[in-house]
Amino acid sequence: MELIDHLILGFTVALSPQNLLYCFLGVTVGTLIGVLPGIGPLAGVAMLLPLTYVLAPTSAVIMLAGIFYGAQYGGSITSILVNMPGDASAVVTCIDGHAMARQGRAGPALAISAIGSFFAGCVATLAIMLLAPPLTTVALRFGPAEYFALMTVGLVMAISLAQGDQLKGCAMVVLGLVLGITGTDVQTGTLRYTFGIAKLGDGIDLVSVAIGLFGLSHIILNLEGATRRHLELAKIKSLMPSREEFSASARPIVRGTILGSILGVLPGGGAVLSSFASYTLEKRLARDPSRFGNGAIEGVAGPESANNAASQTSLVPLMTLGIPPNPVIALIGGALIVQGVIPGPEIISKQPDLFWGIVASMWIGNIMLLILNLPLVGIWVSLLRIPYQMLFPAIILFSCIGAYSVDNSTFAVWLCVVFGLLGYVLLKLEFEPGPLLLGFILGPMMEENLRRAMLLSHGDATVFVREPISLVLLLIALGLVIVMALPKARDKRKEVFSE
Amino acid sequence: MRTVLVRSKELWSGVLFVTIGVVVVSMALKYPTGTPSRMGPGFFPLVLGCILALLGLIFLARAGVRPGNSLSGWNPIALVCVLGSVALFAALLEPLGLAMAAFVSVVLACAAGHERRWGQALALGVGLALFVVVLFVMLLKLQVGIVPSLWN
Repeated sequence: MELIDHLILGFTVALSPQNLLYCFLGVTVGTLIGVLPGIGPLAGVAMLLPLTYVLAPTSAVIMLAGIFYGAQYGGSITSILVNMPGDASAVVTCIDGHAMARQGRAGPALAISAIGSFFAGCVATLAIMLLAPPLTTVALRFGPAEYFALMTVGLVMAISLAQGDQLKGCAMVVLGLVLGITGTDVQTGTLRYTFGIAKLGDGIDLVSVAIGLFGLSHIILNLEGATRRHLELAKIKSLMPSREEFSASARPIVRGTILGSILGVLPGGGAVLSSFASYTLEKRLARDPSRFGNGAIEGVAGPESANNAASQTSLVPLMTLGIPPNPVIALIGGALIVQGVIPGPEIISKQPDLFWGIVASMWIGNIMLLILNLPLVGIWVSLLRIPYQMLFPAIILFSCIGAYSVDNSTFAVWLCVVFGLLGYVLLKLEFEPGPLLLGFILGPMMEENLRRAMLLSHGDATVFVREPISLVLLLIALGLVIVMALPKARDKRKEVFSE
Repeated sequence: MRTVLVRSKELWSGVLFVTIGVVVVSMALKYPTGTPSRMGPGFFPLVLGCILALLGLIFLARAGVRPGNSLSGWNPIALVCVLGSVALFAALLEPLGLAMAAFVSVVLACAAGHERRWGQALALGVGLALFVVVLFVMLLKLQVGIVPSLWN
């Protein structure tokens, strides 16, 4: 059995003392980032990226991936106990999780979300093992037209997921694409949108954009908010869920896991989409939907499993197609490139130890997280008592150092100021920066594949609908656009987001 | 009515994106556009710029129909202190070294908060500066000076 050989190889790599240590560090820091309000996985990974430059590539990705899925675990603690989502994927958990906490059932909510996440993490790891190798063979058949179509689907999906107005989401994506192609044009060497700044010739660094748009602008907005924030911490009485709670959660956990594993692979999908989808699904299936919003444990079990599964399977497109489906994965891809590893279909065949080691480490990381989150939940809860007044200056400082260390240049720090300001203005005008970042990441790849496809077809734009894979992908994108435009879907969407 | 429009988020979104679109297009026109089969560096940004400007116009039109939500008030102190803290770090890091830059940046950041306790801010500044010097320079070997470069 090939799979067994792969597993053995993976665990040999992941169980080396060094990699175990980085896995542990990753999930611990990830939980910390998830728990602390006001800092999401994206800003967290961007900030901590420099910590990994001194590591070997496998250790670096093991740690970064650990931060990412660890943050999903940690985020649920804050969502349930203080009703503050760490990032968009945790918004759903707040609804019923915090309702449970108000009823004195914070313990079971935490336990079910950790158990669900653990189950989802294990299954998702298995899903990656089964999915990735066949996907690489598909990836090898992808030409520029297919890549372009696939990225189009991802961007349309990002727009449809953006909260609020979709036209604004669309504007964000397009602005992101423009920012993404800033710098030297690969094919002709022309400098674009550099405003005569030599440093911009290499393009804008993702870390600066992520820190500015997701770290700094949110800090400013938080400080602008209510005069002083008093966190009302719900008390945890007992962690143990009752037998009824267990049996009510079992199916939602399984359904959430399957949903999340599938949606995580889609570009533009990932954790946010899957937690919303799972919540909607559970509500639809429930015998008494009115319990949702009033502490239905299914509303915690499903979405929490789904977002954890999705955050893990979202590594698949990076490792097989070389396309990051979401910004955090793009940062991980960036870390790989710094290490001299080009993400794409060749990783699995040329560096099996890297790929399988990372996959196996996720399984180990999930066990660590289960221990970190259940018996040790008290430690994280006490961290919630750190006043924001002391927290945000530290976040700012770490962000600055993170940006500086990308290529030891203060220019990247100045860029953070620019993007912090831009992010603030955009947030004030109710634009959501998520789609911008996805556009930013995919911009250069999209342009390159568009130009290559058009070159190969001698300027015939119908190439995109003549190639079957590309046609199917574009039809999916079109379908999404039509669904978005339908008045019924719009109302439904409003309903989901208003919850 | 007029005051509603002046504070309209839609209006300012429109202004912002029309401006960005026009800048993007006007700069894209300076780069060779090429032909569909051999697209030049100007082709893709030209298309994107047009879309941005168009979206901006839609926002403007919508603002005329219904101004939408009004802009909420802003807090210039938080904005200036947070971004200023980052800018100071960028400006001071190379001439003064990590320790001083970190200290100054943390103290300024603290001023953005609601409680301005200077004792606490100074203590936090010293503590965090020490922490990052040990973590990043000593343990992680970040290539940056710790003290002002003149001292070396």
